[in-house]
Amino acid sequence: MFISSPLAVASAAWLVLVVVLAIIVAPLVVEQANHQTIGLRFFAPFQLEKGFAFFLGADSLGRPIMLQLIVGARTSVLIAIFAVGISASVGYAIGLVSGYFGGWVDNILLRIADIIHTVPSLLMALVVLFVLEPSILNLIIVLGITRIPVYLRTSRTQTMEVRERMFVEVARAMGASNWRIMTREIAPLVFPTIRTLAMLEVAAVILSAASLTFLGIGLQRPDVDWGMMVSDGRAYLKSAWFVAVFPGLVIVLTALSANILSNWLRAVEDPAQSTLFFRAPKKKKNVEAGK
Amino acid sequence: MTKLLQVSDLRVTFESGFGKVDAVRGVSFSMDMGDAIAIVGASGSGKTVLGRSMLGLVDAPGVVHGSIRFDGEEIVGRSEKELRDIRGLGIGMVFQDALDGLNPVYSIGSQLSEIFTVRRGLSASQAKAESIRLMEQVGIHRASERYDNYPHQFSGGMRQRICIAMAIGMKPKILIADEPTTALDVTVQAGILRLIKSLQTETGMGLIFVTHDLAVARMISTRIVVMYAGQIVEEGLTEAIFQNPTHPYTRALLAAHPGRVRSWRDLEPIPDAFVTDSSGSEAENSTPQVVVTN
Repeated sequence: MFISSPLAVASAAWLVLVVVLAIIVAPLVVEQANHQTIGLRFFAPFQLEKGFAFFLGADSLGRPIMLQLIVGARTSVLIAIFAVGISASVGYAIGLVSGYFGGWVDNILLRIADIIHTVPSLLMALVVLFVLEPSILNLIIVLGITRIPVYLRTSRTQTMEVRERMFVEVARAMGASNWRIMTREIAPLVFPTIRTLAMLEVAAVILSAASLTFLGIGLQRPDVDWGMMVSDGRAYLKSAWFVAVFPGLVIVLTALSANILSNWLRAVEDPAQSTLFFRAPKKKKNVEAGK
Repeated sequence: MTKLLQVSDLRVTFESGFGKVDAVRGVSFSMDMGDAIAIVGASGSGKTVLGRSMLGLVDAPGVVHGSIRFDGEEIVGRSEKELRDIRGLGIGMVFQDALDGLNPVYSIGSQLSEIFTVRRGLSASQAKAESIRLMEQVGIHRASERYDNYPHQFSGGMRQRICIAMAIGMKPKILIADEPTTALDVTVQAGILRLIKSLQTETGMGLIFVTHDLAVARMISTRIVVMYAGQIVEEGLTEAIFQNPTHPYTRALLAAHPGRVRSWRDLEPIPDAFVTDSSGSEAENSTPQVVVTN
């Protein structure tokens, strides 16, 4: 089923490539990536005479863009995974409790979520990162917290729907505790939605991390991520387009891949939709096989 | 000697936006091991709420007054935590909507086994053996092969059988069956009813069978309680009630059975009895007025 969907294969391949580069290759090339060679300032891309590292050109300080991208991938992936991990698990858990018990607990939690939601997340991140030191850890925490309400609301709504299902009533009549009903009966049915949402949010988080860095309050050199590279290249867009375009392209590709893959996962799990997405093997084949 | 179940002056009130609704208005009855009571009545007569209140399953805004004593212990007013000891092990319940009674993400076997490992403290292998034995007992063929099936691979009747297996697997002293066959077609219905009846005689548990179908009540019960507008209007041995119904409502119910008339034109609808009364006392004391035309 996976093979029959080339778009999903391509997306998965891209994401795997990014993660592998980020985890395995990045530590090996950090030195080289940050090595400045003023002579190679704005070295044009698609030439191999200065070595493969300079295939995508060099930036304003003569650093190889390709290696910068690889090192940047590590930061971006790290931020995306952990920020999404924090907000998804916290939002999922709180949403379950809130939706299951309802009443004043629900009200208080929702109002807190509303408050977090109404403050523009970029503004909040700006303030927090301005007061605290801009570092990867702080960036993860800020992005994680500002994204909690998205999961909380989804998880809560889904929980409220599942809570009314008959098997929950049956479990109660069987003497199951609230904790048991929440974790065993309701949580597994809420999980797929949260997972899809989290995959979509990976893209959103990479983009907001990029925009924070773009504004200059995300990371500081020598740490680098994709957003920072776009931001650096912006000034030279007219004279050296590739400095900004390549990292921008990588961000778009990663975000797109995460979206396509999550969409595909959702479709595969739903029997009604998977028949729409993947046609049954043609009859002709069966006849041929029969011969 | 204390009765197994003693319900006295039970009242269940729902506080709704347009006044109080008294779903159950002063119901009293009692039962022992081996009794099979059918609670009959039209929709909205309070029979389901009555069944649920015995497990403490009446949720807010519903309020329960009066007394339900199970094995001498009071149920009304117990905390959720104390109720859990009675639910399942003391009083089991089978619900009407079997199609959604099993969690779709777990296999049939794991849902059955879970009950035995969690509530009866069996080991995993004992629980599996017990589950398969129960599945066979409720008439699932080749139970060991179907142990790992998921609910969507079972038909409605089979799912209801599993729900019954889950309830009786805990060996409750009383089984409350809330219209367990209403969602099923007639042929499956007969099988389920026979199953419940034979399980009841086998184990000697008490049975409270809630239904709106008099034919079903006659088949399964030894005693019938007729409810109308949240009150018990008639109570007696099943055959006696069928032979000689005294209350006009019971007579109207019997007259509404299609088997008793020559043409559907002879069927008499029974006027609804929704009790929405904020003034209180008057409605409680008066017997419901039933218009019986023939």
